[in-house]
Order: sequence, then structure tokens, then C-alpha cells
Amino acid sequence: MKRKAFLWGIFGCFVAFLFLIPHQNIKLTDLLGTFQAPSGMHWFGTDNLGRDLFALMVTGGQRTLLVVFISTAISFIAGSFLGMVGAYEGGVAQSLIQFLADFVTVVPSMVMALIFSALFGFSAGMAGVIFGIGNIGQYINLANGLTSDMMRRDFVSAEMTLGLTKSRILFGHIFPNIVRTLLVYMGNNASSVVLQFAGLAYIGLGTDVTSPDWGTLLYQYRVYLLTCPRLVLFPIAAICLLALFFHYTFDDGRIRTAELTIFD
Amino acid sequence: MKKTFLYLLKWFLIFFVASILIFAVVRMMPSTPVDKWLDAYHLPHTEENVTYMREKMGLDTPLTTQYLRWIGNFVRGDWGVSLVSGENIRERFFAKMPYSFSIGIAGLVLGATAAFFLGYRAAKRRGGFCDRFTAVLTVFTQSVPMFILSIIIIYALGVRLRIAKFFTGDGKYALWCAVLITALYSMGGLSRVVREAFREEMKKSYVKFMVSRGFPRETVLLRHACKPALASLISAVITRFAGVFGGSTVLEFAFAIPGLSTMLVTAMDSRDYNILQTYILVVILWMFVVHLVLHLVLQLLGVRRET
Repeated sequence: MKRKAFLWGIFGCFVAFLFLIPHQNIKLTDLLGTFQAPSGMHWFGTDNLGRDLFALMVTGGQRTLLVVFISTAISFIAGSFLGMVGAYEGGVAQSLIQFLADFVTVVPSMVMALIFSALFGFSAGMAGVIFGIGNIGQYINLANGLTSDMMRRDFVSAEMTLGLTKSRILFGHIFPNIVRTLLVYMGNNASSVVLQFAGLAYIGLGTDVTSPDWGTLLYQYRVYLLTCPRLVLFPIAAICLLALFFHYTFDDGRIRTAELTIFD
Repeated sequence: MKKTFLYLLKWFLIFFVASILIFAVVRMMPSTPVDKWLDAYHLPHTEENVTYMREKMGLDTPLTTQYLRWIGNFVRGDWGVSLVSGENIRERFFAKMPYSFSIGIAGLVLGATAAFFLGYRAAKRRGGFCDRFTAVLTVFTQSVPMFILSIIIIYALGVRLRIAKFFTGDGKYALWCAVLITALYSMGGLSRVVREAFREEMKKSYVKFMVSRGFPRETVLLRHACKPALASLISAVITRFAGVFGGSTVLEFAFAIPGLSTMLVTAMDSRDYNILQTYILVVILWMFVVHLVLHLVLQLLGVRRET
């Protein structure tokens, strides 16, 4: 538990740092000072247009966090709600919810995000919404399975007999029991959203160069891989670290079962 | 019988909901193919030009008529012509499909096969090399995007060592790399799924009994306990398939493979309604075929799954 509080503390500091740190205007170019090495003035150096790489990275980080936040919030809230209600109600509601889950799992969300960003312009909010909707299916299936397992427990039937309200049973008593597993899945999902968003920005249809994402930066700097690898390494490191971070923070050691079998 | 019917009905509904959705979405775009076409030929956007082109592209009829005509023709196998170039869309799709589909299929088959054996070894020796390797691989694939790995591969093999040509020649290196990267990325997670399934079986009493009776451990696992593991592997592949398709989009872009995605990108530039709509339907048909085949395999394995 200590490790977890520690990781969350780091994350809080990181978010505060990203949003509070003063940085240079990202649109400011300096053609006399291109490809400068890292210095006190430019922490990560400057790029081919003399823009401050640190400022670009910070802005990209803010946008990535926004996408992750919107996307996981949508799919976690809507997905677990629908999944639980479906398992509880059964019948037509369950079939409809199952259809929705199948539908969004079948349509590749990456392709949908590509189409939407090309057609309506690329924005972090929209990418978040599309990834959020595209990932709902997995949450629905997971919450659905977990809730139907819970429904077989004695305490649920006891509560039904006692006449507790539906919402009280579902959200007061079933939800706390399944939320841990859902959160582990959310961690994996958050890191995959980071990767998906970077990939989308890398393909960069309709991307605006003045709103730099880590993927966009990689696309712009890919030609400087040989001459100035620093420009490529910083975004790569940022993407990997953020994804790793989400993966580990939500990983719950208590769920892992380490029972020994006859083979060990 | 009823189950089969419901299954087909579900796919039928998915197909039509998706077709209506994409039909509406492309028509909500701020700029129309007419504008793009006139821009491309440097023609003024006069009332006369716009009306003429709209009529020529068949966009002047009511939306319901357009939809019904398009979907009717699609079902009958006539996928229409590109609004911009007037090419037959079906011929173009059939020329491009092998690239995109083979990346997905070959990558997944390779990845799943490797995952089965890696998962088996990982389950057999807890904490052994395979166990650690697959765990590391899973974390790796969750933290390093595909396109970064492809940039590194292109740089290392194409630029530094000069042993493979990615953007010249017949493009076989690019295709192979895309397949291998897809395989690598599906391998990590899938092998963990196989491992969990095997470990679940190992706890059961029939395995304990056979091992105590003196049957070789490998035989017990591979011959008697492999079905549940295979079943969970296939179920995992089914849920992952859409993701693999999306991933191959990124790979096609990174390696400049002339597959469906490259066509999609150009079609989006010229706002070619017909190609965009057909693309989504083809993707869904493709998903349907894959799901159907995999579900049949699951049925053949005879594993009862909870729905």
C-alpha cells in the first residue's frame, strides 16, 4: 500500500508540474538558435525551428493526459455502469447492452479515430471521446461477468429478499466488490490509450503543428534521427514512461493468485 | 439452431447500424467532395459548377435514395465507382486487401502459435526463463508503441546496417517486418492468457491424479489439458482482432505499404464518400469472417463457454 501511495504522490506532482510549470511560448521560433544543446535556457534544447523542446514536450504531455483522462473516464463510468445494469436486469436490457459491446469491439477504434480526425479536425478532446467509446466494450464485458458472479452470492439474494433498492444493491454492495478488478483493467487500458493516441498523432491526419503531441513531434523529427537523436529520444522516453507508469500504478498485487500446483 | 440465428442476426444488425452511421458521418463533414474536386482542378465554386458536379456525383438526390441505392448495390456486389477518379472501387479494394489482411492474419497466427508454446513453458516452470520473458514482453508491448519499434527497425536495418531495403524494391522486407511486429505485439499478452489457463488446469484433480500415476508431465499438459488453454487463447484472439487491424494501419503508414489504409488516407483527402463508406463495410465483413471462423474452431474444440 505504501508503494501505491508513493506512486500516486509522484503522479500528482507530475500532473501539477506539467500544468503549473512556466514554459516558453511553443509557437516562438528562433532561426538563429536551431538545434541548440540542452542548457539552462532551454532544458531539452531546441529543435529545427529553434522552438524550445521542453515547452513542446510539456504541452504534449498536457494533451496526452487530457486524452487519457477523457477516454478512461468515459469508458470506465459508462462501461461499468452498463455492464452492471445489464447483468442485474437481464432480458432485453442485457441483449441491447451486449449488442453495444459487440458493436464497439468489432469496429476498430483506431480506424474510427483516423476517419474522425481527418474529417472534423484533430483535437485532443475528440480523440479522447472516440477512444473512450471504442474501449467501452471491454469494460462492459468485464463488469458484466463480474456482476453475474456476484449475483450468485448469498448476500445479494439476502438483500433482494430484504427489499433493498436496486441502486443500493448494485452501487452500494456489488460495485465495491468488483471495482478492484475494474481498476486493474483501467490501468492497462490507460497505458494503451497513451500508445494509441501517440500512434494517431504520428499518422497525423489533420494534425495542427502548433498543438504538439508526442506522436506529432516524433513524426516531425523523424528525419533528424541521425543528425540530432535527442529530438526523437525525448518523446519516445516520455511515451514509454507514461505508459509504464499507468501499467504499474493500477496493478494490484492482491489479485494475483500465487497458488502452487503439483508441477512446482 | 436458435443460437446460430441470433448470431447471424447480431452481425446483420452490426453491419447495418455501421453502414448508416458511416453514411451519416461522411455527410456531416464540413467540406464536400464537390468542393475538393473543384479545388483540385482550380475551378471557381460558382452555383452552376457546384450543381453540375453534384448531379454528376449523384449527390443531388434525397439522402434516403442515396443510401438505399448504395447499400442495395453493395449487397449485390456492385461497390460503385470512386467519386473522384471514377475507378471501380471493388477492383481497387481487391488489389489492396491482400496487404492489409495478410499483415493481420499472418501476424496473429504467428503470434498466437508462439504464444501457445511460450505460455505452456511459462506455466510449466513458474519463475523460469519463459515466465519472466513473457512478463517482460507484455510490459514492453504495453509501453512501447508499434510505430516507435518500426522507426528503430528501419533505422537499424535499413540505415545503419543496410541489410534491408524498406522503401525501394518490391517491398517484401517492409511486409515481413510488419508481420513480425504484429506477431511480437500479440505474443506478449496472449502468452500470459495461455499461462493462466494452463495454471488453472494444473490445479484440477485430474491433472494431479495423472501426474501422481506417473504420466510424463509434458504429456499430461499438452495432450489432456491443452483444450481449455487453446480455447482461452482463441477467445483472446477474437477480442483482440479489431485492435490488430487498427495496429496494421499504423504499420502500413510507417513502412509505406500500399494497403487499404494508404487508400483510406487519400480518400479522406478528397472526401471520397464511396470509398470511405465501402472501407468501413469491408472492415466489418472481414471482422465477421474472422469471428465466424474462430467461433467455429471454438465449437470444434467442444468447449462450453459461458455467455
